[in-house]
Amino acid sequence: MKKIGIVGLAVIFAAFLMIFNSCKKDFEEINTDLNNPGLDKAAPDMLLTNIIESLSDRVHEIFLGEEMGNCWAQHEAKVQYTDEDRYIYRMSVVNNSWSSFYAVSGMDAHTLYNYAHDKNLYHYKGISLILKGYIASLMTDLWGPIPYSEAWTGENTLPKYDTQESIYRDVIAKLEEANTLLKGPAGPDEEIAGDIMYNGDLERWQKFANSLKLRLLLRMAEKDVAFVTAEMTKMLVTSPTDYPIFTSNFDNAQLNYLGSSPNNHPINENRKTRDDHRVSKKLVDTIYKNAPYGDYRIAIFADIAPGKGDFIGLPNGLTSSQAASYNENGIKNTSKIGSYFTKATAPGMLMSYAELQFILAESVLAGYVTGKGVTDAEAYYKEGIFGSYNQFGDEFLTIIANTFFSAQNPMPAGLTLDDFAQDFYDNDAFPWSTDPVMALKRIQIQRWVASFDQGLQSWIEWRRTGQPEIKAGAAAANGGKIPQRFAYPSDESARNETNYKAAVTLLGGPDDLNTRVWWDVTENN
Amino acid sequence: MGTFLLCSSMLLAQKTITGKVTGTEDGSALPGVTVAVKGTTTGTITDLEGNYKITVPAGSNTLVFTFVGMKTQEVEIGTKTSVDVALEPSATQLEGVVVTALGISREKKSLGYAVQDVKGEELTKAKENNIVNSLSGKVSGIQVTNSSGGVGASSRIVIRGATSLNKSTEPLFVVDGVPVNNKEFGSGDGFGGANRGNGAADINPDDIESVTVLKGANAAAMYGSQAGNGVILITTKSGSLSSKKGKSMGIEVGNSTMFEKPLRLPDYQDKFGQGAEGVFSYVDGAGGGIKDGVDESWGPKLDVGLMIPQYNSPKDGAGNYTPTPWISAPDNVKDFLETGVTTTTNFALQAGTNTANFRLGYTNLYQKGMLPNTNYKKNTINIGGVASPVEKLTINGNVSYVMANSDNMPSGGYDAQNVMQQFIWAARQVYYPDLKNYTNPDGSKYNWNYNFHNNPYFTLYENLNTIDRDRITGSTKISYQVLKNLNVFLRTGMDAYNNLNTARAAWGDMDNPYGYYNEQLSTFKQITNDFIALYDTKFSEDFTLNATFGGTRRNETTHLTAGYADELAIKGLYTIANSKIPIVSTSRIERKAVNSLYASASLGYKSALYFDVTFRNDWSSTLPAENNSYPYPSFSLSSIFTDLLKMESKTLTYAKARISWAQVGNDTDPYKLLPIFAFGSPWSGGEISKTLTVPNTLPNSTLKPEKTTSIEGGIELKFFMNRVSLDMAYYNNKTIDQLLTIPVSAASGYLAKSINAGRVDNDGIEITLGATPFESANGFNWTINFNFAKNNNEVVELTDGVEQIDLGTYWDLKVIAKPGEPMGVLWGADFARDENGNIIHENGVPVQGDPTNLGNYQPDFTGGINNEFSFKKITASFLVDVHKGGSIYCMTNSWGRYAGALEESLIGREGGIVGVGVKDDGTGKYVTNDVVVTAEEYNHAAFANNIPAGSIFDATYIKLREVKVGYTIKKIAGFSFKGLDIALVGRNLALLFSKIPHVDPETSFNSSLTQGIEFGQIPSARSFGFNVSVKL
Repeated sequence: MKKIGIVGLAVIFAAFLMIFNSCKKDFEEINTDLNNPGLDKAAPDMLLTNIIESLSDRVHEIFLGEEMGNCWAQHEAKVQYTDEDRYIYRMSVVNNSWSSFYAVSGMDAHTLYNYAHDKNLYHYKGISLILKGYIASLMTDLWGPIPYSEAWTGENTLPKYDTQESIYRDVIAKLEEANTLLKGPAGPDEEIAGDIMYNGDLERWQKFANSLKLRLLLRMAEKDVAFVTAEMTKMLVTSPTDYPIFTSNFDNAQLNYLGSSPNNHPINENRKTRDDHRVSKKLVDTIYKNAPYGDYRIAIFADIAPGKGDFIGLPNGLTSSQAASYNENGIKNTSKIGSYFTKATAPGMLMSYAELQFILAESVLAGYVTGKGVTDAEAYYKEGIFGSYNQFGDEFLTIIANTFFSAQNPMPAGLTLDDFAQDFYDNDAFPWSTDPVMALKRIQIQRWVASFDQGLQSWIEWRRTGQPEIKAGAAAANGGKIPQRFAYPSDESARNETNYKAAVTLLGGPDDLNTRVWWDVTENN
Repeated sequence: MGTFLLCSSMLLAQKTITGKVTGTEDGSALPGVTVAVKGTTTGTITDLEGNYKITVPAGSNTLVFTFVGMKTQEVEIGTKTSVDVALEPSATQLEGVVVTALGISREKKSLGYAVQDVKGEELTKAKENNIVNSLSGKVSGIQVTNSSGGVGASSRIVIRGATSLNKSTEPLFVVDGVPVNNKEFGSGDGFGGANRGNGAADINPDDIESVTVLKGANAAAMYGSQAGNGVILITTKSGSLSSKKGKSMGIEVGNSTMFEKPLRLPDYQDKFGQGAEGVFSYVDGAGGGIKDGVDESWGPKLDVGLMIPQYNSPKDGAGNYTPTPWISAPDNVKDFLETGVTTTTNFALQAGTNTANFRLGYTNLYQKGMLPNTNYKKNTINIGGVASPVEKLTINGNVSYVMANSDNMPSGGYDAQNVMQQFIWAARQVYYPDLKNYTNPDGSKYNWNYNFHNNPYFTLYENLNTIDRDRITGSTKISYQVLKNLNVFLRTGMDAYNNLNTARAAWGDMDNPYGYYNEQLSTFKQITNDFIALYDTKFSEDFTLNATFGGTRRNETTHLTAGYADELAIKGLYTIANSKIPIVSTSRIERKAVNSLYASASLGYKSALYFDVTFRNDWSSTLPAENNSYPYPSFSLSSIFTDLLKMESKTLTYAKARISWAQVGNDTDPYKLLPIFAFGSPWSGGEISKTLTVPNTLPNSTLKPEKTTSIEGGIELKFFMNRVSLDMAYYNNKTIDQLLTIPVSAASGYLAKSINAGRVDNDGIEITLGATPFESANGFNWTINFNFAKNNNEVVELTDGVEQIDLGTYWDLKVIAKPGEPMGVLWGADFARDENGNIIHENGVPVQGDPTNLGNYQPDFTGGINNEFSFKKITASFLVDVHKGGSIYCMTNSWGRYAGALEESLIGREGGIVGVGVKDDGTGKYVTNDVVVTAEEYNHAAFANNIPAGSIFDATYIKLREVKVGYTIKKIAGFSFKGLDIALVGRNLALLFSKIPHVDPETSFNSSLTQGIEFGQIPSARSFGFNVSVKL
């Protein structure tokens, strides 16, 4: 009996050990993630789609793009929860924006670049350089010095900050490289897919690279006139065929959002439950109220205020209760943002043809383009206005018909947006001027108008030019001054403290909203 | 007889003794009693009928009968050949045998670490649906937080403080030796979501025989990596073999019915109604009238004869609302809530013989919540059996089938789907019960506000969160007595469930105009296979050895499938196919396996000194191959001085000291090692473009397990014939190599990184004091049990460059771990202060200051006092639960004051407020503030979410946790039964002391490390009712 017991025990134990040992071998298989693709399954097209979408989503994100960008540029004003409009921003928004640009769109662009570099996918590489350049230049314009040369390495969790100048120079060089890569041959079996902006049209990517480069060159022009003049002259006069730029609104760098969540425009999602944004009084006054001959674009930018039957702008920077009781009832008696900009399929604009025309007009006027003169500037200026009108397409024509005409007084058949642009251009109370100072002002103000709803870029440009002349609202914080930059995210001062402190030194002023970035030389506050 | 005597004298060399051992209590036979010949190594054990046969060597004259839980008895043989013995329960029987790790029964006195047990009937007399809640106040060193007053909500339990910054800090639940999953089935957080309960709540209290809490790493070392936070061992009534011959049968039927009312509701003000700046007039409830979009209560004075158009005013011919009396509605929230009812009905049948026993239990639970249209239902069938078909072989089996479902579980947190949110903001003159018909006859919405809020009835009747779960847990065990003192068993345990959560919002919801519908189906399966050999022997009269050796393989698979229709195409149809926009669906599978081998030895000397060694090694699939093997050793020493030194004192009847050291660890979750891409939401234009993105956490292929080293010491003393007992423990735990996900500069391309770093220490004392102050011959007894625990928690270090780790972010308040502080610092802005600490005012209102340490959620100490009185057939008891210290960030206070809804907002309503503090006199010098502002302006500034300091409160409370009055009858009208118990019971009856106004300080929304936040609490329930049980 005893023996049987011991034998039995031994058998059971042996069986158990066998099961046990065989099971242990499968650990690696068990711990293999079956839910997500491994690094060997990288798909550059899927990364590209995500970079474009997440970049546009963030640029037009409700707090960042709408409430800091559009309100600080005074395209829009807030009628409820007015904090951002008074420059009382949420640090969480700054943290989230920084995180998103770096760890989402930026990291994916960087990863796409590395992948394309390893596999010799030259066109993907070029596209990733443009997108990364866009992100880096936008971030340095928002904050000043940012981590760049040591960013996106993964292992280096304490990257140092670079000066804005060095970032500008590197991004410009990278855009040059992108231009070269994109006009060159494809890599082995390379075909761009997942391109939700240009559908794989390499020439339009190339145009975007060069147009973006011109934006950055003009922005830094006063810091290095010789370099900018040489670059612009090369691109626009010496070898323009090597540097194609936007030639129509077809080339716009914009994401055409789709009809439904999550692929709808961020503002559209916000509008489903919130109604906090109004067109700014500054904009309404500039192009409509105080303009002897109105600009038709008021009708695409703004809705008629239902309580008043007219376009009425809301002043920026009121307290919530001041805004709510503005014009008796702020919510009802001020103009909402036009549906073109709030519909699900509203375009997420990164850079427009019209903006490029104003860049060209200003660059030529300032003499940065050797071989082009004032008449060229005027032509670019006019094309900027025409480009802006045409940007909104048939929807704009319908809105014009419904707003400025009626059943009794119908819109004559056959009119085009060019006709209305021409009408405005001919009757503009503040037309093109041969006085270079006035001309410059016209270009900058028209660029501001044409960039409606591109709040971040409009605010950045206002910091550069001081045009149009805008004032902080009555209840504005920040000492009653319009911000000149974002403060660094609190996440950075906590997680990358040493480099953050060095960055403040590089910045050359306190880490607040009023220190000017490297290229900013205009007194405007 | 004479012949026998002759024979025995002739066989002087040795003789055989036979006999039977019974228990004095009921005279039943005792199997398994050790019968030894004193002074020799000869011994045997009694068989199933209690019979034994032993050969006594010459020269020996004494038999020693020992059995756990019974007094050891020595009997002189003399000339007897048959010795029958009746064993008495031992003096220490009250804490005699406990179930320890791996389901092994041990004498409590032999243990070198702290365990505390609770009998099953203590859990069922005053019934809590969630077993976790029943332990509150009864066991020292555990902290239970009842998360919400919503039906079926989870409860958080932490033993001896949180050790890990990373994983759940909850203990491991083990039922009949098999781990049971205690994950939450869907938890909300402070920003919404329904709390759908925790896994352990599926354990049916009616099927529980006893609960043993293994508090520290020392007690739990044998469970390895799962047990770093302690273990709750549950033994079910699966039935044990009858000690008597013949058939036995028992039937038990019981019912418990409890009624629930809110324990505490905010103290609202009823002097001013809706509006702002003192005005209000209703046109469309969305800003079209005078301040009628505002939901706050800074409007006109109530009950002074004002006539104002309101949402429920009749319309005149032109369709305008006409003025109606502007009057208060003091009970608008109280009357909105209903009386909750929980009924539990259970039935159990047990039948058996001395070779087989069987138990069938069925329990039905139905809970109707205090919030309208919320409920929770649970049916449990438990079948257990044990059989010994042939000698030495025993087979046990136990299976529980649980069906739990709810038609609607309320959403919590600061979210429009939680009706408590609107009551915090709400218009004080609106009588909510009047809103019951939330749809007008023409189909339009009927509500008091159309700017922010749903009609609260709409929320509860249309926006539903359901749960539907089927769960099977069970185990089988075959044990075989290989040798006289060697027993081996094989056990297979399983825990498997399908859990379907759905959530919906109807068309017309304020935040979701087209509603939504989503489903999440999770399936979970855990199989645990054990092999254990148990060996116990006696070397000599003085030394005993108790050894085990075994191994476990545990496999765990979780599979989640989810579909989301974020906008619905057809109104009122809740299916994923009805999505107006592209359906989002995901699936995820997670697998994990852990192998373990373990061994333990317990060496006893004279039943008075014990030395234990345990060793376990785990191999976890979640860790890299080179780091996936890790050992957990433990040592303990305990000595019963009274026995060792043969102290015979009537004052000190029992004295034991114990000390132990142990190390256990924590592995990690699957798939943390290798980099991957993650899918983003697809771009659905024409052909769908999938998106890939680099995840935000940088993986780490060199992770290793966390390690907790624990030292524990304790003494147990009993005085005056055990009428007073004291058990004290001191412990010190250090957890190093924490598996942290640390935040990193986003410029690295990642937001976080997984590392091993950091250390968290816990040390503390636990005291359990029991006394019988009064005991009388006529049957009146009074016993007191007192529990006290103080735990000091400290995050000793994190890692270089990481000053804090965010455990949770709630607007401008963060719950963080910071070196040098206990885990759970509430970090946020204070008021700006001058150098003397005075609050700085600007334009009459307080100014926001810098973020600072505003408090910590860890309590200073917790405790409970239970008094029990019995007189003949009546017993009465009450349990008081104490929680001292800790802080809470209370959002009900912030927004309730901001919105002018709470009582305190009446201060300065008419004369204005001059904030106490200073102001800048214009030259940078601070002078006493003298600027008068309206109460509305002041409260808006001082109680907005940007300055959390105004809403931090001391969480100290004393609660009357439980009251029971019971009556036991054995016979009615000549019909006798084993017992008829009737009890009146109440739970969570009163908040005897609290430093925080308006809310129950016991507040939580899930089991995570983010605690100390009250964010729109669903009121907790005060419940009372009765309990009847009959045993036949």
